[in-house]
Amino acid sequence: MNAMNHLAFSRISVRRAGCLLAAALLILPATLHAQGTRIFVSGKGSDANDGSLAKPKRFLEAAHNAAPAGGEIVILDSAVYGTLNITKSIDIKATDGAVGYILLNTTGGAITINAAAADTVNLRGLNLKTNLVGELHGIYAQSVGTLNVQDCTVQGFGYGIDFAPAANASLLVDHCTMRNCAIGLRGQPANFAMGTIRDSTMIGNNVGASFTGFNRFAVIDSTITANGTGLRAVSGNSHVLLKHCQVVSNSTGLSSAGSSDSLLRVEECSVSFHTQSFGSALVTKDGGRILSRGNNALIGNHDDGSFTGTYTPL
Amino acid sequence: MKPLAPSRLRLLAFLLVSAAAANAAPPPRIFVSSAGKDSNDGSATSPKRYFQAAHDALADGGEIIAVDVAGYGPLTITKSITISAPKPDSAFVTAASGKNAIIINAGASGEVTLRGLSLTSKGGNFGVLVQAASLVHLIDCRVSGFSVGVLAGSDGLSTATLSLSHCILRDCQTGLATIPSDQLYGTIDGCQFVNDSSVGANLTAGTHMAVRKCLFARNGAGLQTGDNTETTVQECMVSNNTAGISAGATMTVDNSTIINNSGRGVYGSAYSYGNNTMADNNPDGAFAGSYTGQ
Repeated sequence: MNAMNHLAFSRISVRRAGCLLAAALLILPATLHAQGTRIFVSGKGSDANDGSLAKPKRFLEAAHNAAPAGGEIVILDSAVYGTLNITKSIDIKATDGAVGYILLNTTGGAITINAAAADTVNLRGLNLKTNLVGELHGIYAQSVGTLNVQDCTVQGFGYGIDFAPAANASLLVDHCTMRNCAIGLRGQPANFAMGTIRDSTMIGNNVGASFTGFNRFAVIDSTITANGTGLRAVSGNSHVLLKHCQVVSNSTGLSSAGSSDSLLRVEECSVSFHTQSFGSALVTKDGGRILSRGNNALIGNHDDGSFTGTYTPL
Repeated sequence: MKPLAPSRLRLLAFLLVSAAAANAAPPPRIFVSSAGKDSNDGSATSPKRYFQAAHDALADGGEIIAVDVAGYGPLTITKSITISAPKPDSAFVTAASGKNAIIINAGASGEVTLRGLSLTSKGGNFGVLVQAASLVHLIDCRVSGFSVGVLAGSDGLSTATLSLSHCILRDCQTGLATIPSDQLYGTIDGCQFVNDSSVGANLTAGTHMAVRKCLFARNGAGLQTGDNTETTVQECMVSNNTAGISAGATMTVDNSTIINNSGRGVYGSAYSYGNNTMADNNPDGAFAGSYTGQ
């Protein structure tokens, strides 16, 4: 008897499940649309796919165009994902272990950002590279509100990360490498830029980081080595604080020029091993300032140069 | 074959039922996967699909392991549990607008660890809402797009502990908010509070928090504490916020950098160890005093 009841119950359940399934199928298109805030891309995907996990798209540009403003793009596996023009808030990330390679084989930028002044763009786990020479950009922020770049490598460009926003904007570079560029990172806002560079490496560039215009930046826990010039404030009104960094074995370590509004503050840093006869660890001219908190190490330089002043801890 | 006697049939039935009961003991470890089904048993070869089904089937104190990239669905946690994703940005929990991603209501002795989860939303309420637990530990989690990324309450518990390690809480209105009903103790280590429009971390009465090696950048206020709190801040970068640090009660600040905030750098009861840098804030403000090492 129990078995009979159970059987009857099962039949009802199956029928109910059937109804639910039909209802679910009716709802499905709307649900899919609602879930479309996350688009997946894969080396095995196709841009004709809908971008779901089961049917990922192939290239970042198609995924970007399919994603809503504020949406996510998840890179599932290591592959070459094509160049990209970003025009809205977007969050692009490679799952750990996967690398989204972007090769630039033509002029322009590997990733160009032309979003609105209030938009936020997040980039994570990308490897940008070009073998061409010229005015090429890795990440070229022409218009954005906030740009976060994390776990990325930018290699071989004229400008690795070129932060040149039209309106006030903010940049965070975390755990990135900028190497073998003419300028690894350039802050050159039309108006005002502020930012933090953290746990990153600038290596083998003509200039590791260069600031022109109105900038307020902090560089912490980072390595700046084997560049022509490690980090420089060129002109305008750029204040950069370096804390707990290694500025080592560049031709010129730190340079501040243009006017007294070019200001580097340096603390807990090693500015060392600048051995070339034509270079110095510290270079200032035209009133540019490099201030020490009195807790830096300068050894093994052909010419230390000198700090223009000190500042006291509070 | 000779038919079994009725008594032996009853014995066989008893044994089968016993075996079934033994099988029904909740497992200590359940796997979830994009290819899984909630009707599966949750073993490595037969994973479940969603966190909630895995949680419900799991033994108290058990572990859920997310195998691959997928959205694993919002869940409510009512027991001690560890959820692990081996790779950050692979196990997603997405909350619809006005909804929550993970609610923790694990009771006075519940201990919950979340590792490697990405909680995302566009206008969701809470990424992690802690209603009750004795210990919550978030490791390598990324939380974005909520009204409050992590809201740690303690629902009547006299003490509770919260620990955040290497988490990123960004693009929320408030990244972290603590509202203990009595006392909340905790650590925040190696975390980033970025682009949270109201406050990066807002610690309210009853919170005792050690904050170390964190970045507070581009928030409304970076770090804000209320009355009856105690906070230690070490090796933090507080930059590019509208307001830097606002200390409503005793806070010590050690080897930290407070720069480029468009409003006041430091406000309130923040005491300096004498080795901090403040510059280019508008205005810098001043520490309430200094303290010495002992």
